[in-house]
Amino acid sequence: MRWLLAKAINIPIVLILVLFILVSLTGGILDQIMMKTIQVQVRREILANPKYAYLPQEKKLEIAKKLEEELIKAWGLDKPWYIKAFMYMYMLFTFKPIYARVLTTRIINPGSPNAYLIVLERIPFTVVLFTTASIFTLAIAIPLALLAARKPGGIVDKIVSAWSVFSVSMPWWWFAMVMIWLLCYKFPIFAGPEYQTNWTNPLDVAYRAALPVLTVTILSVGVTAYRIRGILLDVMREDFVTTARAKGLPEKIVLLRYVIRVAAPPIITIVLLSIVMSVVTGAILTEAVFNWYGMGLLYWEAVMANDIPVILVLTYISTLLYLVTRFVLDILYTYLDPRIRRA
Amino acid sequence: MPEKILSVRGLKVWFPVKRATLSLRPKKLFVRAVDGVYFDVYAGEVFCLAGESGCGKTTTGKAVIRLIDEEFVRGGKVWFKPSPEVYKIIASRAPRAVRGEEGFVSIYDVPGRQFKPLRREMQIVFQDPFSSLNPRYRVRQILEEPLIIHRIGDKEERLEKVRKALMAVKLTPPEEFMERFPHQLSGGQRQRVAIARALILNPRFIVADEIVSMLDVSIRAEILELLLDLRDRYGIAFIFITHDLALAKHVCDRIAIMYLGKIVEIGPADRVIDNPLHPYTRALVAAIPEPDPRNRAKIREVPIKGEVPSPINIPKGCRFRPRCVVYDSLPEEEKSSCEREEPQLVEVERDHYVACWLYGRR
Amino acid sequence: MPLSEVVREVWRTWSGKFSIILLIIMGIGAIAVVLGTPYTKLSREYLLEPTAWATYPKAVPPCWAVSKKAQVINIGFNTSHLKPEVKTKAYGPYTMYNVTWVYSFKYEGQAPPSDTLMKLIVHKSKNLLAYRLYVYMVRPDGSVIHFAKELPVVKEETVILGLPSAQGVTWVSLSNLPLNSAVYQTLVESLSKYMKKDVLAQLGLGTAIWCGKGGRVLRGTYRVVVDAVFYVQGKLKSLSGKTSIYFAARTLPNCYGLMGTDSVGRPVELGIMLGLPWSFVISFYVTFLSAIIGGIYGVLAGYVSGWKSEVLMRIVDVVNSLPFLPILIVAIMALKSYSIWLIMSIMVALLWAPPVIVIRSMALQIKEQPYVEAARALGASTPRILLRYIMPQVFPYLVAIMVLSIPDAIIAEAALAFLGLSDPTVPTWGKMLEFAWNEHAVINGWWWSFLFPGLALTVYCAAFLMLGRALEPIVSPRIRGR
Ligand SMILES: Nc1ncnc2c1ncn2[C@@H]1O[C@H](COP(=O)(O)OP(=O)(O)OP(=O)(O)O)[C@@H](O)[C@H]1O
Ligand SMILES: [Mg+2]
Repeated sequence: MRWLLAKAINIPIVLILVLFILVSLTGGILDQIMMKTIQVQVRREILANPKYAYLPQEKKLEIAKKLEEELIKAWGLDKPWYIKAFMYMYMLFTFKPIYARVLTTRIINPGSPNAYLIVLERIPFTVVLFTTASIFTLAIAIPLALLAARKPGGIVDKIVSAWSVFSVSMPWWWFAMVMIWLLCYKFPIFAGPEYQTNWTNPLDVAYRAALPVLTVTILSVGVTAYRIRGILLDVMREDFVTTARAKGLPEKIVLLRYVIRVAAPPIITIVLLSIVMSVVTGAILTEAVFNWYGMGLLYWEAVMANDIPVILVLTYISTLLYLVTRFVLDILYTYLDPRIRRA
Repeated sequence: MPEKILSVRGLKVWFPVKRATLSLRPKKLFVRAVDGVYFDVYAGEVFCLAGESGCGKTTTGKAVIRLIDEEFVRGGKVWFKPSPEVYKIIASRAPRAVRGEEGFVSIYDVPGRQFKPLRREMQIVFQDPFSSLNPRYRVRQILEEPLIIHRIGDKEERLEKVRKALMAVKLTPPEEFMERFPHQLSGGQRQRVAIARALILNPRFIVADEIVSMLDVSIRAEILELLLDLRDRYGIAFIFITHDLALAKHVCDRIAIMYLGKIVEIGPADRVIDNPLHPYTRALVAAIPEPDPRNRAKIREVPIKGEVPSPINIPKGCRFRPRCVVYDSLPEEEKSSCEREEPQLVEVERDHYVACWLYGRR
Repeated sequence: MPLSEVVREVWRTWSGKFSIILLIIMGIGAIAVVLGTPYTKLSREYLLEPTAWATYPKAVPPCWAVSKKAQVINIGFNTSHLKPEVKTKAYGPYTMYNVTWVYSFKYEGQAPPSDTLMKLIVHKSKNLLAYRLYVYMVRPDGSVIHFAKELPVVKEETVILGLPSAQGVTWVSLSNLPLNSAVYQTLVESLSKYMKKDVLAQLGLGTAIWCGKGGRVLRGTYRVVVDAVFYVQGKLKSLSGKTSIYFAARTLPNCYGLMGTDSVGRPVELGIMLGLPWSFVISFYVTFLSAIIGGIYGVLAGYVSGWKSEVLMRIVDVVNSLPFLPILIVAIMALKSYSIWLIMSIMVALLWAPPVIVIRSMALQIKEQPYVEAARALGASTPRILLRYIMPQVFPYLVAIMVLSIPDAIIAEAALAFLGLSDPTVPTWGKMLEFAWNEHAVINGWWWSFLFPGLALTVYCAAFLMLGRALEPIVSPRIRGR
């Protein structure tokens, strides 16, 4: 239990440092964001309050100005930068609302500029896309890896190895472009990025998701199978496997009964981690190319719109997601792997 | 009486047990690898350290030439008598380290930066000849390295010294070996190179840590011959670490028996082995394989029980007590001192010391 | 292990062989591009001077992918060298002149050209009044395409088609005529008699004038007819020197080179060529620096002990927890600078950390080796041990790590370029992909403009990846010699 606590303490430390880096990178821009946020609030206040409704325009402006100054004081925007840095970190840490410059939500509370909501409504789409792709990937990659590990240097092994080389060497979004060109325009089988999807209709979403899922699966099977094969081969070099073989057990049984059991925890860790990694980063451009309403597309939109608040929140949330998953995986790994649990 | 060159007084080396980074209980545990060791080494003698595996022989050997980080040395002093020139240098640079017996330096009191001159005077040869030579260096480079580090001679002189050192360890002709890589040498040849590397700086003593245990039996004798020969020719003292008492009797002048980080018996080798006094030594001697094959069949009773306890939890009182068959046969009233207090080394015969309550009642 | 032996081992595997050959070819290619071409000038033109590509066909496929080729014709005539046919008619003090010149040529291409460039310049002297110009083309099937119909010419020199510039009048592409120009309207009017509006829009005017119904090419003799109508007071003694009309046309091919051209006419192969040296610069700069920093850091973290090591590793932990691409995006957008050196340096700041963990564990292992202890016993200083004992052992593995991370670096740059976060003065393959995407190459079916840059990236990365994979087992962290 003690190491668990130690690891759990590690998360906020890393998170604080990541936040610090983010805040120090974007310090100046954050000031502008805060000013903007204040202005939005002031405008809302004035519009919403019936007390001000019948005042003349100049009077309204005057009141707005005063409110603005009060808020600047209250939020501490007049403080020196090092205090502000901690303020901003605290702000992100406690999920205080941050307002987007341009982008708005489209599903949850449509039209809201709250950056957290904007990010939040995208997460399910990304998760669905990559989880589905990962399930397909595993279903193909595990048998492939077993076949490859059974005969290292054999034909399956060579295919897996070559496949992985190409899927690592390719820009994934480029492969997506090629797939779209081939399967949406040249041979119109799938819905292209132009397809007007009703994002609240699951069937429509599924039709739309077919090509992205296919593409991501093709790409990740190579890498995943290669890694699983590596783990399997490592395990197969261990003594207990040799012993099992020496007992005269057929290779198939050795693989399925002895090797897989020991290799499972690292395989699960790697696969889950790679899902999270693609959810968090790898998918930015792939999603953008498919015009898939997820976090990756949001990155693209935010960069195009120069919407730094959204990028900031996105990066923060992704880091958080990544760290938490890694922590959970650590626990899972320890739980699954008796050798570590004992130590 | 020959000149004393090394005097170890109450040396303790404790390694903290590695634990989780942020542990909740701050109480620290230690592996007490060396736990209060006293002995002296005289010029030109072969001094043996013997004992079971894990009793702290290597750690002691490393500690006396300061290969152990200071942070692990938890007490005691190691006094070393360097050559007068080096003594002068150290005395001027680190006066704090020379406040003991005239001519002696307390090696852990010399600041790390000033320690380099002392390195010339004390050397070590490791057990494993396969990993103690840098695989990327040629033999010439390996032997030149100490000379370069200590800025001795120019290129020509260094080569000459390398040649001489190779000849001293009987790797002749030297030219044939100088340009080889370690992997092009046999185990015995590698060990000779390792000895040559230790020799090349003309040290006063060399720690030889089980230097023959990984070699073929046929080569062992040659290496041991070489060792004795070097001792006779250059007057170098050896701290010879071994767990093989038969061998120890053959090469050593004096021997110290270690148990769980402490010396339990020390004295002239033949007397200690022919007439062991400590129950533990007796057990070790009884376990020496019989050279005469006719007697081998007889299963001899080894007077010891149980397993070596962990050096983390050293038993209170006499640390050998849980395994001691003599203790078991003692009357109850005599057992109490074994349980309560650690026995100290007492001189039972001339030059023969034992740490056991059977002998010392003080 | 000496280098030659490593190379021999790598050469033994088929992927090693393949990667070494590819790398040699690419390396020589990169050097040849930098030394053998006016590289800076070409890059500048490629990236910043769209006018340099005016006479190139736009968005045409590579020639090997086109079975029916267009003919490239380059015609031009000045009416003063042609024999005119003159009709006159008197109106009181004025005489009306109707002067006609005819120029014929053949078009024999199997496909229409991708576009047609034209120039049309009219000179007239001041005393020609109410000058009206007719220019049309009679095609092999007898149909007539009008370029100018009753076009008034007022000034002494009028450029009807063409862009006046410092180098004289330059070409105008018929497919890109301004929608409000007289020529555009005339052309559309006469062409829409022969084909539907949508076919016309799809072909473009520069192609359509060579096509009959349904967009099929018309082969045979074309006649360009230039017809000027004007009045003069009294009568002219001779026409010479009074008016001259310069007409030139040039068809653009419907394919280009090995890899086609993009939508502004830049040859794709030129982009690939210009991107190659930068791929080397970017990937080597980033991976070399991060391997060196990571290596030194890892060795140090392995050599020091206790809390120092703890702090060093915690820093690595933090850097490794940063999501690479997002942080890169944030950093570049926040710093508001797209300089390639800055981008590469930020990448180094993030990529040095991953190798540290392995290198540190290697250093820890090596540090415990008796020969390192022996060196300490000899009095070797810490820097000497790090430099002469640990580093040389770590180095080969570091090289493998560096080679294996080359795809990361170069693909990250391509990704940034795709987001528009790239140095505007650096031609890279990623930027070509971005351009193709933004010009809707996928939807328009211009596959060559995105297929080849992506392939170049893939081949480049694959070569290094295969080399790295071949190197890895040879230099793996297990201490050799045991
Ligand atoms: N650097 C270290 N850190 C922690 N514990 C150590 C370290 N070095 C040695 N020890 C422990 O100290 C004890 C004594 O080790 P040492 O190597 O001195 O024994 P030894 O008598 O030389 O044994 P052997 O005959 O097997 O070589 C052992 O329990 C060992 O595990
Ligand atoms: Mg030992």
